[in-house]
Amino acid sequence: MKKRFIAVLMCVMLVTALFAGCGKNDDKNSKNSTETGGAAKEIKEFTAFFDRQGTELNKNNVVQDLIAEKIGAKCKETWLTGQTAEEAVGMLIASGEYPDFINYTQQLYDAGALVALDDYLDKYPNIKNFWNEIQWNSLRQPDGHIYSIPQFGKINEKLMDTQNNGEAFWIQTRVLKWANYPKIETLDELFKLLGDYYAANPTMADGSSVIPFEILAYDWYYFCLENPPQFLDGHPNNGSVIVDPSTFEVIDYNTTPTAKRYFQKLNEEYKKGIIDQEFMTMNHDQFLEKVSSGRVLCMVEQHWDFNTAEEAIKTQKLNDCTYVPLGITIDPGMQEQYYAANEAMALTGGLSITTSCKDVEGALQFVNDLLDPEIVTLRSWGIEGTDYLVGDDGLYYRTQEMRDNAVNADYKASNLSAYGYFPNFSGMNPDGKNAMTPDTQPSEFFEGLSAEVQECLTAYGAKTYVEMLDYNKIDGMEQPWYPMWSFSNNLTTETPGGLAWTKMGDTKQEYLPQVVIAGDFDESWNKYMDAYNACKPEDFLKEMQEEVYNRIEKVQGKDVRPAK
Amino acid sequence: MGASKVMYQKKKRFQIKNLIYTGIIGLILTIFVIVTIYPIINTLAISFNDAIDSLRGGIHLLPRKWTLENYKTVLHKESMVTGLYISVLRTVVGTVLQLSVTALIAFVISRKNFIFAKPISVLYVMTMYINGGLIPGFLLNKSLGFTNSFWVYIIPGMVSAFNLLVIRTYMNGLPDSLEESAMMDGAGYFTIFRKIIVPLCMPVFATVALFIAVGQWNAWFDVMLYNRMNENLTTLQYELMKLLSSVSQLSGDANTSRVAGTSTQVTTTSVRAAATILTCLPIVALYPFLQRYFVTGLTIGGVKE
Repeated sequence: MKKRFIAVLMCVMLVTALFAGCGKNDDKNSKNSTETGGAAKEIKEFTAFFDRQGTELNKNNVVQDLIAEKIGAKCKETWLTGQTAEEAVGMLIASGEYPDFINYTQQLYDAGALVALDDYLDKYPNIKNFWNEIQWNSLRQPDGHIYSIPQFGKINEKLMDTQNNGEAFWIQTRVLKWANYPKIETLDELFKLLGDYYAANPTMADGSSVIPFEILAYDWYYFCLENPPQFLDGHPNNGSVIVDPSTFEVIDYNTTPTAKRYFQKLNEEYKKGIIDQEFMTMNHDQFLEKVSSGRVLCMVEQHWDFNTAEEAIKTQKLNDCTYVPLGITIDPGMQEQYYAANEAMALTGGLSITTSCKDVEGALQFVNDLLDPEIVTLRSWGIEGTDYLVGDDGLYYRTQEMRDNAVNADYKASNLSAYGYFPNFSGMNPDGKNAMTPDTQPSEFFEGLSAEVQECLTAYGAKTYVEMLDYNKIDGMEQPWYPMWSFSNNLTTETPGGLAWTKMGDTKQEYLPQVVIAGDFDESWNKYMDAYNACKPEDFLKEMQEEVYNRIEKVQGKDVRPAK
Repeated sequence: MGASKVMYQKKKRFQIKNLIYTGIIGLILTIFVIVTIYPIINTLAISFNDAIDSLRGGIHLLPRKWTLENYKTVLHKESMVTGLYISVLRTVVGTVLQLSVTALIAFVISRKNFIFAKPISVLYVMTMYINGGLIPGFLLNKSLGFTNSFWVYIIPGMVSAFNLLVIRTYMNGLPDSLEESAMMDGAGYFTIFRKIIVPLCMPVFATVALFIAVGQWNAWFDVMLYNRMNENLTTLQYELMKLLSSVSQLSGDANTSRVAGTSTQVTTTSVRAAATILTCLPIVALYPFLQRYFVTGLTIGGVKE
């Protein structure tokens, strides 16, 4: 008895020790071996990690397998899980084991984890032609090599945007209708309208109270609170600073007179009860709940952040509670730039290939093939006959069922594969007839509009959401620095400017809500300004200014730095 | 006469006092139960509610629009099946191995005649307060060849100092005379361990086993660190974690204004709720079976020398 017990215990330990040694799989890319052993065409499998949140696709995803069949390669994409982007990348760097593809970050470059791509580019025409010479050159790192392929912002022929996905003052159509579609240009006009409407219609049909103006100030979404001053002054979304197009000077939009006026206005409106009284304690989910209920008349937001809430409004048949964008400025008669069609000339970041990749050429071939016209359509529209139909005029269209599938998470995970973080076009499909994506297809777009929205757009002489705003085209040659956020997003706390940028962000997040709810605005504003200036914003602005000059130099080839 | 009256009054007062005490304690406990049970009921309600409808919020105890779709969505993922299998495996294997190893060590360091018992205990306790941190731990496991293997779930965390202390303390509390008399009858250490200590330690073993099992069941971080790319070694909790953190972001930038391909969609609160319920169900089901052992409770202090 005793012996048997000991024996069992020993066995368990022995087995444990054994397995510890052999459970090792030292080559995660073993699947990638390019030996063609079988008779069947072998499909290369790549791995990718993107430091963003995203949805993992199911195995045997229909479109992914179809693409794999056509081009002989597929890629398993993984996304951020329960870590911050910085932690995840740091972890990978520490381990020295990378997936084949990764989103470019400065840390990865510094760690020597990335493969230089410039020598390969000529062999892959689709990649080579994806950006022009100037754009490629702007990607060169200090060592003169190119390490990344930017995925976004390549406009094929012309932009087809129907919906302004970016930031604007979004207002429910019912408010405009109630006032007989007035022209609303300025902040004061907007809040007057909201106040009047609220006084006349304080509750929803179900008795819940209306929220005239909502501000999302949670976590990184606090841009909804802090960045309107740049728009109010009529500047496009550089995201972190204003750049004066004539003098190339970087201006801090946090300290402009407009910023003060804007927050003073918010402060007044908050005291009047026009702004949601609990905006500063609300998280992102709670915000979406409020918007979904149709109670929020107006807000500043990026459209992509609340489109699920808008879907919820539609399912409740609250058709007069969906939103149209308004281009609000601080004074009347200004040109606003909420919407800007732009293909950047100075590029940063993008898709990189790591040193762990056993088959760099195969990986680039894969990226190259993904840009093939047929594959591009598969990625953005899906499979013909299943996900979209082709009319007699050659235009793609979808039935309602197909539209529902396209937004159903379950369906998407098993059927669609956009390879969204691999290079992709916006604008026109390569066939020159259709839009690149279903949501920018004009005919598709009109089908989906409710009568209320159509009426509203028509009243303002617009056919799309984009036409509700001023149309701006930013020429990448003339304003090569745009957008500056592509630089500030990649700042790390290792430089003085990056450190200042982080501190500024923390300070704004802490103080701005207090400024809005303060009893004494001036006192609170001064306190905020003191704290803000203590972050040394000048360090940040200096680095941004230098980058503006760099980009001008890269693209226009001239040095515009003021003479010392 | 008077004396008995006083006695009676005392008794009566004592009863009233008792009633008040019981009442207050009962009230506090009831509130506590409500506070702990409401989130679970609420999650259940949301998980059975239509996904888009849940966005409106305001669901408390009962679903508004009954549906099973959310559960279908979760169970549709093949990775969930693999995850379930690996989760069960690691929980069973991990619990058995960790408990037996920990119990053996505890037995050794709880013997009075083992001269190194103290210093060894101290060494173990130190690991509770001082550790290398994430990156060194990761590098260690990597160089030991644990990455991309199932054993990374089991071996590195084989002995938890806390559990060791719990068991050791319990063993210390057993009378020494038991061991001595067994020795007299000619039993060796293994026989003592098996025939005397183990049966007596059942309550503490059950408690620790539950700790380990819950820990193993809920672990997802190690999966992410060591087996991120290994689909066949994923666990249920990691799959859930992925579901929870897959939030729609075109490219995560506050400034991007153009869609990246087809934009992804938020995993709705309802789907998250369904996944949450599914993953915590098995471990919740374990509790009633181990409940009776908890009566003995956990004691960590009061080390007898």
